[in-house]
Amino acid sequence: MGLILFKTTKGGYSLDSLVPVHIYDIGLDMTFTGYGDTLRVETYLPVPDDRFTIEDERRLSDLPLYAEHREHGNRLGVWSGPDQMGPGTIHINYRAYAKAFRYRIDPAIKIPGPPAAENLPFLEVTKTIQARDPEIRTLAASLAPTGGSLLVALHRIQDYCMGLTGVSFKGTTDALTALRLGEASCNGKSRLFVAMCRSQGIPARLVGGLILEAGKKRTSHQWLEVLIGPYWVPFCPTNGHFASIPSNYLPLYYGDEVLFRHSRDINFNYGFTISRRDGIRAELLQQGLHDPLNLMSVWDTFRKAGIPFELLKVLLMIPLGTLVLVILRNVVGLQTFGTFLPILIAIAFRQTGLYWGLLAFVVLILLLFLVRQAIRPLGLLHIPQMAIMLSFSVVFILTLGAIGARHGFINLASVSLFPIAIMAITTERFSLMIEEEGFRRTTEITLMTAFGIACCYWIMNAMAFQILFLTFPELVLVVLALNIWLGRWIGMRVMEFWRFRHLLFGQGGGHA
Amino acid sequence: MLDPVRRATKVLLGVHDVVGINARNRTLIYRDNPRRHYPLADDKLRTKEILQSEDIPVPRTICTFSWMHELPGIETALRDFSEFVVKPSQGKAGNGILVIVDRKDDGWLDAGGAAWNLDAVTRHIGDIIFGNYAHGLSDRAIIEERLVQAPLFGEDLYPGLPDIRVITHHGREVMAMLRVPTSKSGGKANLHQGAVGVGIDLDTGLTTFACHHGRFITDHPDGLGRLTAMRLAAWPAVVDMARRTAAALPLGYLGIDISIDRRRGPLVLEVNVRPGLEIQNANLCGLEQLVTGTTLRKVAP
Repeated sequence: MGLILFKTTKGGYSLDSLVPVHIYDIGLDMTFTGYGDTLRVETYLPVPDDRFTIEDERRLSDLPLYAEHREHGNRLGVWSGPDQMGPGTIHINYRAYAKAFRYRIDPAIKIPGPPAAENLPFLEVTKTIQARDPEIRTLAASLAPTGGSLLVALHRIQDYCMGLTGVSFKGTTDALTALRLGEASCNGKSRLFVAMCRSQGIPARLVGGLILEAGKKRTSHQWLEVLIGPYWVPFCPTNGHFASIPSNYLPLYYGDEVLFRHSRDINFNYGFTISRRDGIRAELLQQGLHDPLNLMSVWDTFRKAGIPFELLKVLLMIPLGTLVLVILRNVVGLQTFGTFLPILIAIAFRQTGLYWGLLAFVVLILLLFLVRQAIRPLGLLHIPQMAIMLSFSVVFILTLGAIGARHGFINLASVSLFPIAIMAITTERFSLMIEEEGFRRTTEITLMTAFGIACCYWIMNAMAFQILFLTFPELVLVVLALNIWLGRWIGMRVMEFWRFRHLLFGQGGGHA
Repeated sequence: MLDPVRRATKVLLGVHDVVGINARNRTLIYRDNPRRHYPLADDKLRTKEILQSEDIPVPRTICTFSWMHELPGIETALRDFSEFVVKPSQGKAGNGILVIVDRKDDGWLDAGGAAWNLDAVTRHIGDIIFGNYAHGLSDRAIIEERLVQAPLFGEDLYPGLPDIRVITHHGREVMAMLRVPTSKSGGKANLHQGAVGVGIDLDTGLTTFACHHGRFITDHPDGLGRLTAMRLAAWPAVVDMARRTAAALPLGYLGIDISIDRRRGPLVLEVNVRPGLEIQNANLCGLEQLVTGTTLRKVAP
């Protein structure tokens, strides 16, 4: 514990960076066809801020020229090339992760705050944000009366915009149309929100971006921000986020812009591909690399030696897995195939996921049993019999993998990555068990093993534990201490309370 | 009588006299049984040698097989025997034990009535040598005389050979139970295979409680008569034999299995360094006093 304290206070570790994050890999593919003219494609690229981080941005383009323009805090990527003929593509990839933010608005803040000169652009009346329109002004004045509480007013505006019938994206809807139709998609609702704010002198701006969710998508999203004091506070009337923004909202541009602009008639198309994984923030791994006290530099050493980080993670989680098993066995009283076999199996399940893995494991045991029954009349010696069972299990695993691959179950297909050593040990333990303990007991132990595997899997794959152990490998000492304590603990196992229930709780106990 | 809630609370707080596996391992086995002496109990042949040298009766060994190349000698060795028992020297929980009770044609009949020809018996002995019943370590097969149960209480006769498990601690008997095979246990005296555990009062040799698969009964499940409140005729001899066996071995905490043969009287079948804890259920009494060093004598509630 002392070491952990030291590291967090002196070693430059921040506990904040320990919280696991969803990491999104975002790919944007744009396609076009040139007909011999100069061709130009523009889109906004994300600008990292306090809330989210953008990493590892890569661009790949068939167009020869690229320029970036900074305007109003936005980053506009412009690809262009003269005399373009034929189809071409532009790829952009980057990794993004963000925190959710929530603001508390002081109810004492009144409407309107005095507009500062630099805020005038955010009070602007445009063709699509008709803040001076009488209809909007009347409504805004009733929802957000001058001199009233800003917080109350924003709630009312949000409620009003959320009350509009939602429609899926159909192109640009201006504020007035949204109001008159009583229905709008995200951009209409947000524009009406902004228009009402501006008409009452509250600076507000549109935000365009992506809602990050795994899969392919073309739809971008619009929400808005209201300037309160020095802060731009986010609101999304479409999905009901009030003064808050979830971690999967990725802003690409601020203001009433369009995400893509391009030369006419180039058959332009685009699509986002987003995948999500849980991860550890890279800044954690990069910070303080040269500090000898920082163990992350040790990880870096491993990286230089070509040892994958994933492997280190697995190795480092093994002590924790053993602790889980010690607890399951010595405190709960669970019995499993082999002492630490569940850990190895749980590690193998990282390829397949828990459910496919467990299914494969249980079916494998069943198959081993059937094979054993089938070859029993041959009266074979034990070891050759085990060899036959192992061969069958290999065939079985490969068959499962082939089925998975053919029918597109990636996880099932990876069953074939089950390490052969694990299968061999399982086969051996099973055949011994069934000889010694009989079918019923073996079934019980199989189920208990499956439970043990699941526990190991959950704990060892829990992001929180992985991050803790990667950041503080000295936690292994804590595991050690717990094991010493458990090694001295001579209390009753949970299952023994059941076994000796008559003796412990029954009336007949304590005879002379 | 204690209020059940108070009793349950005390139990959960650890105030009870039942010994669990953790406590048994750490406070009894590790402390009193030096690991280097385990083979004296785990290897039945070595146990037999030691006990025989102390004149403690054990089943007579007909022959042993240690190597595969000895297997062709089985025919000659067993030709003249119509009943015998094949045991793995390092088997556990009664696994791998073959009890031959009679001849049939060219081969034999086992206790369950199944026929065994010479090939089958040879294969079984081969499996034993290969270590099938000794966790893969090579083992020796013991062929020994078959014991025939003497009536324990009078006229009783059970399927298989019952035995009396006596737990000794530093040479003194601390708890005992009679283990009675049932048709379900296939003639084996192992409780988790379906035998009945019957508690024995140490002073009188009277049976107290009978526990079968976690349920308390009074009569044998196969309808073979009453099991509780019966007096074990040979009890004083059994206790004496347990004490002498414990004294012969450098192990402080033992489970000694004694059977009573019709002709030879009490014999030590085997000795366990990790005796099971089910005996507490059969006696409805915990072993805790044993761990804490006070007497096992209990005060009636």
